[in-house]
Amino acid sequence: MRWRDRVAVLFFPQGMILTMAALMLFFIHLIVFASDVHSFCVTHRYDRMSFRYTVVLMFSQVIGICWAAMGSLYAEMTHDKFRRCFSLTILMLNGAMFFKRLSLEFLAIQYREENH
Amino acid sequence: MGVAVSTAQWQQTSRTAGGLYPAQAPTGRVTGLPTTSGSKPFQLWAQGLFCTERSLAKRLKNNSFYPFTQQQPNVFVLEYYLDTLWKGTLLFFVCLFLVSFGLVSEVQKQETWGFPAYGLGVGLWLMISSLPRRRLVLNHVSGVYHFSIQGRTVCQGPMHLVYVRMALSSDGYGRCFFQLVLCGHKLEPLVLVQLSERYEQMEYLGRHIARKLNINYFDCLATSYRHVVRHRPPGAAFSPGILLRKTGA
Repeated sequence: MRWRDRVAVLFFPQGMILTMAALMLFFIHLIVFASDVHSFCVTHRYDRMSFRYTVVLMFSQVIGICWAAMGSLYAEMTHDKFRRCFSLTILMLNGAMFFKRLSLEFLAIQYREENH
Repeated sequence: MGVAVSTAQWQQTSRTAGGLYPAQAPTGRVTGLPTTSGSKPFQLWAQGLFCTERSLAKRLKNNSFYPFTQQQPNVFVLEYYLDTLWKGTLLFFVCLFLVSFGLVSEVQKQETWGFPAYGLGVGLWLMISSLPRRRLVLNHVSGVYHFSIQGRTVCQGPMHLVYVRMALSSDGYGRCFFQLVLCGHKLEPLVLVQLSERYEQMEYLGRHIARKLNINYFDCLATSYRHVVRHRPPGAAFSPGILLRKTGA
């Protein structure tokens, strides 16, 4: 395929773009989660955790789940086995990430900065 | 009774208007984005957003093959940009303004510049994916329709796969709202009238457009006597879903 066709394929098909965006978001959240767990359990440097970004992070996790669900819906309509399995896997990964993040926030709730 | 009278008046007005205004070739308009002569690529933006069936009727008076233009007899061409172009551009510039001036960067000790950053990314994506110009050609001479994006062919198929459809949505109190959509197999649906309550006017406009473009027209219900089918899929006469009318004799 020419390079222009490869770039143009980014615009179509619709479902793959959403699944790819959800995959990218999953990797970003995985990196943030790994660094938070490292700061929380290994080095005990609680000021290095991502407490200032909790709102944006939660929003981003929910958006990742929504995009993965929409991509999975488009993939189900194509009847292509590989695409269906792939997008369902991404959806489950994003869902698991959300619950892991929720558990970590609950465990670390005592270590947030105090404001009086 | 009142409804029947208004329908008759509507039809009368449209017929005389059709006789008074012969179909004129629309003049080309100079725009920022490249277009071919004789086409208005942004004409569907206003149509999908505010306009009622009366403005669609007015546009049909000026161009009887609206939204297509007739290149040769029985060949119709439509070039358009998706409306996500202006939506994505608006979102992008609003979020760029918010990020650069730092208006929502910190709320109650939480860093919230991530929200306009998200808006930047989504707006940029919508803008880039809507920049290529779409082109839909209905070619009755060869019996195919052809859909391409910036010269790259997306789909080419037989004419029975393109149609005008009336869509129905109702609110919780039972009021029905109708929408006229031009769509097809692997095509992007184009909304001709966004929201209207007048069924007879919408049906008349839908049938008029389908007759001028020589494509199928479908009613809001799946099984209905009001469909107008001009092209059938090959071999459809033998499919069990279609009942053939017994001709007398």
